[in-house]
Amino acid sequence: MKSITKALLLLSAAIAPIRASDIPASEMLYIGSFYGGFDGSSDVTVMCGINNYQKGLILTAEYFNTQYGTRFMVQTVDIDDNLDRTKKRLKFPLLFKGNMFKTGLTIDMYIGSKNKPLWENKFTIYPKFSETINTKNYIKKQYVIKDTILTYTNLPEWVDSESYDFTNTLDIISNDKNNALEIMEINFSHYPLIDNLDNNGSCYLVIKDQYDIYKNIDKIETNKIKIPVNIKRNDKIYCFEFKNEMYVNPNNLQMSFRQIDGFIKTSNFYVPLGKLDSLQDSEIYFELNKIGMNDTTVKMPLSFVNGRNLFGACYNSTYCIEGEVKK
Amino acid sequence: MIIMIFAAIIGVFSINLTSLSLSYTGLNRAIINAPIEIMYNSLLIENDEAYFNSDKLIKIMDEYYASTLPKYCDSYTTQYYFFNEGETGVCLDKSCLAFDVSISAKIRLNQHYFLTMTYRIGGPNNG
Repeated sequence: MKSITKALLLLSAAIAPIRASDIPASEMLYIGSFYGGFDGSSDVTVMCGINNYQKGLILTAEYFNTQYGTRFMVQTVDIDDNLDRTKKRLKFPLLFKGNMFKTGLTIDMYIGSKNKPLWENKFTIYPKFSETINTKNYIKKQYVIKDTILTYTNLPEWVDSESYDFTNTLDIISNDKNNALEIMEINFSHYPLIDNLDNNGSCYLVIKDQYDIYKNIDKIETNKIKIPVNIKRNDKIYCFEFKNEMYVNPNNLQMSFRQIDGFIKTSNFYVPLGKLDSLQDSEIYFELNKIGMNDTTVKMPLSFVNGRNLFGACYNSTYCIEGEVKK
Repeated sequence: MIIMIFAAIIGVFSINLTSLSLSYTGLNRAIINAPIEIMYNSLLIENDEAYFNSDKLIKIMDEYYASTLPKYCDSYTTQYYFFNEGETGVCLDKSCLAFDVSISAKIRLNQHYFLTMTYRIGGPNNG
């Protein structure tokens, strides 16, 4: 009798992990942390959100080569062993080793049996499509990278393409008050809306300094200075801000990346007094390296339009002094 | 002989007149064409509005006049009158929007020269 009871208990324990009521399908979603596909051999980490998880459940992932339709790897993970309890989410590392085809790789994830899964989700990931965009060719246009299935943490939807929209992008840059470059005026759109578009990478405003105007800034290329910038999401558009605080001499608006006596901290980039005209025929562009899901490189050439001088003639200066003989 | 004396008088008179003319035109040129750029160093910008720092301005202007006017006159004096247009009376602050500078100079033949210049801050923020 005891052995029968024990056998029944064992049987119920074995059945328990696959009861449908344990995991309401509606409460399961991907918030994956991989994006943009990958090249060659890579590790992929998928975040799977489960609110009412049950110990002992097995999450299975199968990989398919989309081009040939062949299954070539199965991986299983015990949910209980991998649960990040602080976030109430299951972190499931999918270790993918192999070559990615351009047609993508399909991952089928399910809990329970393959034939009658309690939950299932299938998606395709693609290799990164790294390319260089010159916005000169895309002003008033969109640049779309298709076949990009991706998610970012907290991105509520799956997307199958990435696009840059330069429809409303200015291709000119001007000077704000006090000769500060108005970089906030330059913006563009990107789909999907994600927060860390620049991947904390290397983005610069590059200015050709053929007349050696910026005497305190080292030239890292021939006659060019590079000012690090961040891409900042502002609701539905992306704009720029200078990455670092810099230093400026208030007497002549000379800039420096290092602290020098007489210089004060600033978050703007100023053109030295009386030197605005030299930017008219200078080469200015944003160089955005490895941004977005596909590690895209974007070059945004700009023309400088002289706004107003800080001091000078009254017709084109913020502040001027007029003199006349008193009658 | 009389003609020679008369000619000499006319000659001396012409030289003096020329000298006077040179002094007048020299003073005019130095005062009216005073480079405005030197005054920018006296501007204060607060809350997007520019003002003259009167103490600094007087120092700058006096330095300029001291370097140019003595070539054209024996002595000179300057007087500054700061004001804000549209307001009555003088501007007693150190931050003013306009000023008059009057230059009185004594030139050759006990002649006097007097000129007043008005300078004001213009531009979009200062009308």
